[in-house]
Formats: sequence, C-alpha cells, structure tokens
Amino acid sequence: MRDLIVTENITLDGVIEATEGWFAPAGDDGVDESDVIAALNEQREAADAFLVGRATFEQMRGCWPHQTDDATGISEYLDRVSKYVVSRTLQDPGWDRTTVLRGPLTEEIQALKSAPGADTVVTGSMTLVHALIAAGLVDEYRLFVYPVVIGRGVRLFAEGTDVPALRLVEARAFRSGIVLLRYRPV
Amino acid sequence: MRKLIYSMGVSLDGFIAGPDGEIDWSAPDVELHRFHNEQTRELGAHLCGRRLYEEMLYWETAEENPSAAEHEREFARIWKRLPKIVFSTTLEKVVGNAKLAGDGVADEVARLKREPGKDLAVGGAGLAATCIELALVDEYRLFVSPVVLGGGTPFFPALERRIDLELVETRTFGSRVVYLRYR
Repeated sequence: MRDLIVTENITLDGVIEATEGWFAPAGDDGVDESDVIAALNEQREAADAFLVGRATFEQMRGCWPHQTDDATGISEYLDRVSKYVVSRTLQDPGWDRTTVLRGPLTEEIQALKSAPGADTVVTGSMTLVHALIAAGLVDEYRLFVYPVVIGRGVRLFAEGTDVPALRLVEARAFRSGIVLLRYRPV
Repeated sequence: MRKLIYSMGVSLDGFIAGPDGEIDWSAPDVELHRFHNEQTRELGAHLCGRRLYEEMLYWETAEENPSAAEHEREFARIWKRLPKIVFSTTLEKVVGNAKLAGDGVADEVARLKREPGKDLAVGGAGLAATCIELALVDEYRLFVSPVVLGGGTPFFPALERRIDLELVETRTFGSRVVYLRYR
C-alpha cells in the first residue's frame, strides 16, 4: 500500500495557514536554505503522486506551469508528477496529468493507496488535510517547524481531533532554524 | 542580565495539559528527567502561578518517599532549594523556599532581572502568557511529545503580534521527545 504523507510548513504554535506570509522568515536575505531544499528534493524523489484540495490546486496551477527558468526543478516536477485534486465542483483541471477525485474521500484515497506506485504527498490543503486526519488516512506527518509563533490561523490539528499514538521517525534541524519533525501512527 | 525562561512539556498540537488537565502523557523517562534536573539546577529562581506552585508541593516531601528513584530524589533536592516566587490573588501563605510576590508581574520580573544571579524560569501557562504578552520571556524550551491531545491548556497564548525566534538547540530523548530551544 502506498503511503499518504502530509507535509506542511507549520509554526511553533501549530498553525499551517499562511497568515502574514510567515513562511518567509523575517530578514531572510542571505539565509542559506540549501539544506531545506535538499530535504524537500529527497521527499520529491520518493513520491510519484501529489494530492491537494481545490484551493491549493488552483493556487499552484496559477504559478507553476508558466515557470520556464525554475532552477529548483519544482516546476518541471509538478508538470510531470501525477496530480490528484479532491473536489466535487472542479470541472476541467487545466493541467496535464491531473485527476479530479469526486467520490467519497475514504474510497478515493484507499483506491489511490492500493494502486501500484510510490508515496503520495499532500501539502497545503488545510480542509482536505483535516478530513484525511479525521478519517485516519494519514501514514506520515512531515512537519517543517518554522521558528515563529503567529498566534492565530488554521492549525494542523483541529480542536477535538482524535489522532492515535504517534512514533517519532526523525527530528532534523536546518541552518535557518527550521526543524523537520516526522511522525507515523504507531 | 538574567534571562527569563519558559520551559514545558508540550503535545504535538501545542498543549501543556489535556482538556481534563491530563499530564501523564508528558512523564519523562530517566534520561529526560536527569536533563530537567540539570536545567533546574541552573536556575536562580522560579516564578509560579498558583496551580503550578500547588502541583509542585509534591516535591517538598518526595525525598522522604522510599520508593522514589534517585533521579527523582535529586530533583526534589534541587527544587526545594530553588527560590519560588508565587503570583496568586487567592493564596495567603506559601510553604518551602517560596514567597508570595508583592508586586505585579512586570515590576517583579524587571526587579529580578536587574539583580545579579542565575537565570529565572516561569510556569504554568497562565503566568507565562502574561510574561509573553509583556515581552518578558527571553527563551522558550519546548519538550514535544508524540501525542495529539485535541484540546487543553495551550503553551502559547493567542497573540496580537507574531514572535520571530532563533533556534538555539535541538535534542531528541529516547527517540520520542524532541527538545526545541529558542530565543
């Protein structure tokens, strides 16, 4: 069964919503992010599917396919990876190699996991991620913890959320002060 | 100048206690307990809200418990010696090496920071929230357990303004607990 990996940028107080653009650390000119980029590349190479909710999909579609000189390789990767969008309303996705998943979430995700292939990565997609967590469909959390406390915004784990016991897989600190924490259900 | 440290065990979703006050999930193993002992040894004083003060009264007599492990007895010795300053509008007296704060938080912390001595710590979350809002906290130490509680007492209060921090140190205990230290 393929793993479903939720990967998020997250504040120290657990917020994943990009309020006030905290993703870009204050005064980050000259901050060496090469180690974070390398970690993201490792993750990309292990995944062959990308799952998002409609809002995140439309944001990404708005930027990525038009970048012709993207040195990070992310643009080219997103163009060729199999993309899945969970949406009951999206008609034409308008991006090559994209499948819209319209059915009941658990069935669609189980079908995706049962198909042959490598990891499926979910990022952004706050509403979808909450639904995946509630349905017990997440196989791994990869949290890039930023050294910032934002105080408000949508959190990864909603109030009342019931998540079974987790096991720490890795804790890795980067030069910029970001810490990657990886957890899997026990 | 002395720094004010806010250090606590937190769940992965950022709570220091569960919805019914549960803290059993944060019980440290021996290695982590010893680490807490050493960090507490480095303190000159501890500011406490009433609830933390009352929870920590256990340690005033823990040394006498024959079934207490050596690392627990060691913590008890360190804690008993540590001057505690208790902020409470309801307590009339405190026991052990503790006194009730005479001033408000801002004045008390300002005075303590001016005095020579080892660093200060603050807990629990309510008193710490006041200190955070007054921009008095110099260092945050989070011991993250692999547990999602879904609610409870948050480590960080809701904020008007973001706080940008610098990562100082990380360490993993028993392949479970991740220590994140920021200033």
